[in-house]
Amino acid sequence: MTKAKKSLVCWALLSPFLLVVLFPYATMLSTSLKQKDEIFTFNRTWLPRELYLGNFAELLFEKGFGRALANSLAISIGATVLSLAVAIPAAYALTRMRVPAKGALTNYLLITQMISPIVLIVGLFRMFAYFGLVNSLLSVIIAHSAFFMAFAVWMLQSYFATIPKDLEEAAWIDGAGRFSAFVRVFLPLCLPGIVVTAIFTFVNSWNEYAMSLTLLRQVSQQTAPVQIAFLTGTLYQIEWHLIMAATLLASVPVAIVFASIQRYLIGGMALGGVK
Amino acid sequence: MPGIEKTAPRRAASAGRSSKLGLPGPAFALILIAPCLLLSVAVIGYPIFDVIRMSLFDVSRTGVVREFAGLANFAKAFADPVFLQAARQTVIWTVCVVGGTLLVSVPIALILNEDFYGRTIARTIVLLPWAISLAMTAVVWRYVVNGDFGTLNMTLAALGLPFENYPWLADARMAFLIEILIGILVSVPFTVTILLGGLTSIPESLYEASAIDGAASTKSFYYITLPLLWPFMQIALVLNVIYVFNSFPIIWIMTNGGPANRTDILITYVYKQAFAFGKLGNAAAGSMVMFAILLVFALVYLFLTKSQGARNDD
Amino acid sequence: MASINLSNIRKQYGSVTIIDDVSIAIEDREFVVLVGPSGCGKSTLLRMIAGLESISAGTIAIDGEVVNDIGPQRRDLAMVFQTYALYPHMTTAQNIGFPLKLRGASQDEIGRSVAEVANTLHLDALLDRQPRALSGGQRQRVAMGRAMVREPRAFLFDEPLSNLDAKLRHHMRIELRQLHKSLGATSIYVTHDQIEAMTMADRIVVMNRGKVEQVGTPLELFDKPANVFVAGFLGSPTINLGNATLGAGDGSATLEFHAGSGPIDLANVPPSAHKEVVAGVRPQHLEVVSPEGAKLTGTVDLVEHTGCETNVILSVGSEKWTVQSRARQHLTQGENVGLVFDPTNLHLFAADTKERIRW
Ligand SMILES: Nc1ncnc2c1ncn2[C@@H]1O[C@H](COP(=O)(O)OP(=O)(O)OP(=O)(O)O)[C@@H](O)[C@H]1O
Ligand SMILES: [Mg+2]
Repeated sequence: MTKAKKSLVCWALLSPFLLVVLFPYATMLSTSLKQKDEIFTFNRTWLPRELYLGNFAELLFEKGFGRALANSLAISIGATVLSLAVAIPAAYALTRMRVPAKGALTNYLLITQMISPIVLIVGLFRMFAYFGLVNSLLSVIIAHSAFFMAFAVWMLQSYFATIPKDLEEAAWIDGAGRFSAFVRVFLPLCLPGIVVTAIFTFVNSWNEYAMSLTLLRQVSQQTAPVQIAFLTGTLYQIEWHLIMAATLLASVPVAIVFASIQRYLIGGMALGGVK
Repeated sequence: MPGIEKTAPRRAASAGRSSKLGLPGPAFALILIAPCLLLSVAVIGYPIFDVIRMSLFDVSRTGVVREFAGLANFAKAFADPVFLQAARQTVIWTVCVVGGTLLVSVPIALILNEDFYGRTIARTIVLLPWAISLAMTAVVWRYVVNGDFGTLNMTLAALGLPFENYPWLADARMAFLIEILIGILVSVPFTVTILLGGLTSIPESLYEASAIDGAASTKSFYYITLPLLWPFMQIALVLNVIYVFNSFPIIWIMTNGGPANRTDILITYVYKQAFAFGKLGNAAAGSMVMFAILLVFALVYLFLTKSQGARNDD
Repeated sequence: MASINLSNIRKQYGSVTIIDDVSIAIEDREFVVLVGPSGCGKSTLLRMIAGLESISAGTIAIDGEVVNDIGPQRRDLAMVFQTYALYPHMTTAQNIGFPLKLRGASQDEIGRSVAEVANTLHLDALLDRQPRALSGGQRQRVAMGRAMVREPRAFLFDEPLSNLDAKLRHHMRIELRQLHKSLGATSIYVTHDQIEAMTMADRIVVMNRGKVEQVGTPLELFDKPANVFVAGFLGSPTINLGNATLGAGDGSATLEFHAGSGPIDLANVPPSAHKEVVAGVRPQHLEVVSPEGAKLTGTVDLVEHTGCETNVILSVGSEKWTVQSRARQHLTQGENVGLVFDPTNLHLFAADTKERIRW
C-alpha cells in the first residue's frame, strides 16, 4: 500500500471520531456568529446570516464576561506560579539529592494526584471558610496548586532526570556554588520542561470547575467555566448565542496553547505512566 | 606559584573520617521538599481528616460538629434509596465510560501510530477535547442536543430524519446514554496519549524481526503489539476508572442528576446533600465511601506501576 | 600550580570498598596518568580529588593544605570530562569564559582571556557556535579551553579522548602533551588506554580493583613491572606468560617451562633454589628459530601481517603466545617452531604472590 492510499484509509477510519470532536466547535463557531433571532426560529441553518461579532461585544461589555476571563487568568497564573514555585525545588531534590524516605514520598504524591478534589469538596470548603478565604481568589489558587502540584513535580522530575549531572559538576568545578550552578546551568537547560509543565498546569487550572464553583460563591468572582455554566441556569430563555461566544472565547486560546505542547505529552505520559 | 615543593600534608582533624565537601545533606533536601509537602498536607490532608470526622459525628446544617455518632451517618446514607440508586448508576457510568473509552482508544491509537499524511493534525484534533474544560464541553453539548434549538436536531432534520424537536435530555435513559458518550469522548485523548506512548516505545526492529520470521501483520499484532501494549492498557484502565468514577461537571451541568435522580452518580449525590440540602453528615459519609474506593484503585495503580517498574529494571 | 598528595585514601559505598588505601604523591608540574581496567576506580579517585565525591577515609592535600572538606568550587582545579560537559546553552566563547565570569572578571578581561585561549587551541573561528554545532574534536578543545582559561592549580582529565576516532586521538595526544610542556601545569589524566598512558605520562599509576599496583615512569613500568598484573596490562601485544620452574644450574639459574621445554640457562640470574615462577617475555623480545635443538617450542596457529610488523600466534603447551617481529615471517599453520629470547629481557614473578622476583 502506498503512503497516500494508507493516509486515505487512516483518515477515513478516524473520521467518525474526528467528526464528533469537531461538531461542538462547529456549533460554537456557527452559533456565536448568529443573532438571537436566527437561533430561536424554525428554519435554522449552519451558516450565520452574516459575520456578526456583536455577541462578543455584548458579552464583554454588557454581561461582564471579561471579568470572568480576568478571574480565570488571575487564578491560573497564580496557581501555575505557586505550584511551580514549590514543585521545582521538590523535583530537583528528588532527582538530584539523597532524600530520606524517597519512595514513600513519591507514592504519597502519586496518590494525592489521583484524589479528585470533589471527593473532599466538603472538607475543602469548610477549611477555607474557617480561614475566611471563601469568595477569595486566593483560596482557589491555593487549592489548585495543591491538587495540580503533584503532577507538576512528577513531570519536572522526568525532565530533570534527562539533564546530565556532569554539567552541574562541571559548573561546580568552574567555581559555581550549588545555587549559582542551579540558576546558571541547570535551570536554563530544563526551561523547555518547565514551560511545558507550566502550560499544562495553567490549562488544568483554567479548566477546573468544581473547586471554583464551590469556593467562589459570588457572580463577580466566577471563573469563565463557572460563569458559562451559570448562564445556562437562568429561568428565562437561555441566550445560547452569547454562551457559545463565551465558550469560544474561553476555550480556543487555551486549546491552541495546549496543542503546542501535545507532542511533549505523548512521550512524557508514557514515561511516567508506566515507570 | 610555588616551586617544586613537597610539604607533608598537614595533620588534619579530618583525617580518618568521612569528608563533607560542604555539600548539602539530606536535611537540605527535605527543606527543598517541605513547601510542596506542607501545601499538600494542609490542603489535601486536612480536608480528609475533616471529612472523616464529619462522617462519624452528628453535624448540624451550619456545620457545627456535635456528638459522636458512630456509623449512624453511613447507616442513614445506605438507607437512602437515592444513595443506592446513585451508587448503582455510578457503577454503570464507570463501567460504560471506561469500557467504551478503551474500545474507542485502542484503534485510534493504533491508527495514529501509523505513518500517514497529516498525522500531526489528526493527533491534534483527537487530543483537542482534553484541552477544554469539562464544564464548557458539557455546556456546548447541552446546547448541541437541545431539542428545540440544538444543532444536532438541526443537522438531522436537514438530512431528512424525523428529529425536528426530539428532546434528547428529557428521557432519563437517553440523557444518561448521551452523558456516557460524552464521558467517553473526553476520556479518549488522555487514553490515546498513554497508549501512543506505549506504542512508540515498541522498537521497530521487533516488527522487522517478526516480518523476517514470516509473521503476517495480524499475527504480529497479536503476538507483539497486544502483549507489549497490555501494560499500558492496564494503566489506562485504572487511571480512567479513577478519573471517571468521580467526574462531576458533565452530569452536573447537563442534567443535574435529573430527571428524578435517574442520572445521579455518587459525586453529584454528595454535592447535593452538602450544598443543596445541608446534610453534611450524609455528604461526608458518601465522600468517605468514595474516598475508600478511590484509595483502593490508587493502590492498584501503585501496585501495577511498581510491578511493571520492577519488570523493566530486570 | 601545585603538588597533590593523596594519603591512605579510601572510598566505600555501604560495605563495598571501591578505593582501598591509595597513597600517591604528585609533584608540581608533573603529568601523572592513572590507568587500569574498567571499573577499577580511576574515575572515582579523580572525582574525589576534584571534590565531587566524598572521601571515606584518608586525606587529600593540595599544596600541603588538606582539602577533604572543601567543596569543588574552592579547590581551584579544572577538570575535563569524558563527555566534555559543555554547557549546551552557551556558545564556545561563553563556555570558555564561564569560570572567569563566575569569578567576577570584567567583560574586557574575559574577552581577552578567551581570545588568547581560543588562539592557542585554534578555536577562533568557532567562538560563536553552540556545542551542538561542533565536532567531537572541537568540543574536546572547547572543554580544554574552559579548563585552561583560569590557570587552575591542577588539571584533571577523565578519559578526555575516548570519544574521538583513532586518528584524532593521536593528534590530540600530541597537542595535549605540547600544551602541558608550555603550561607546565600539574595534571592527572585518567585513561584505560595504555598507549595514551605510555606516551603522555611523566609517571604512570597502574590501578586494579581500587588499589595501586605500581607507580613509575612509563619505561620503568614497561621494563620492570612490579607484578603479573602490571606486566600484563602494559605492552601491546600482551606479554607472554607461562608457568615455569626456576632451578640451579652451574653458576647461574635455569628455567624450565611447564609447557615442555628443556632447562634454559639464564646467564644473568644468580643460581637459585628450586622455585615455582611465572615467566614473562614480551612478544617483541621473542624470536622464531628452527625447532631443532630449541629449548622452547610451539606450534604456529596464525600469522597476522599488520604491514610493518608481523605477529605470529603460537600454542606453547596450553598457552597462547605471540611473537612480534619486523621481518616478514613465512610460516604455515601447524608448523613447529623454536623460540629463543635474550634472558635479560625475561621477567620473573613468584607463582604464589605474583610479585616480581628481583635479582
Ligand atoms: N554510586 C555508586 N554506588 C556503588 N558503586 C559505585 C558507585 N559509583 C561507582 N561505583 C562502582 O565503583 C567502581 C569504580 O567505578 P569508576 O567509575 O571509578 O571506574 P573507572 O575505573 O572509572 O572505570 P571506567 O574505565 O569504566 O570509567 C565500579 O565498580 C562501580 O561499579
Ligand atoms: Mg571512568
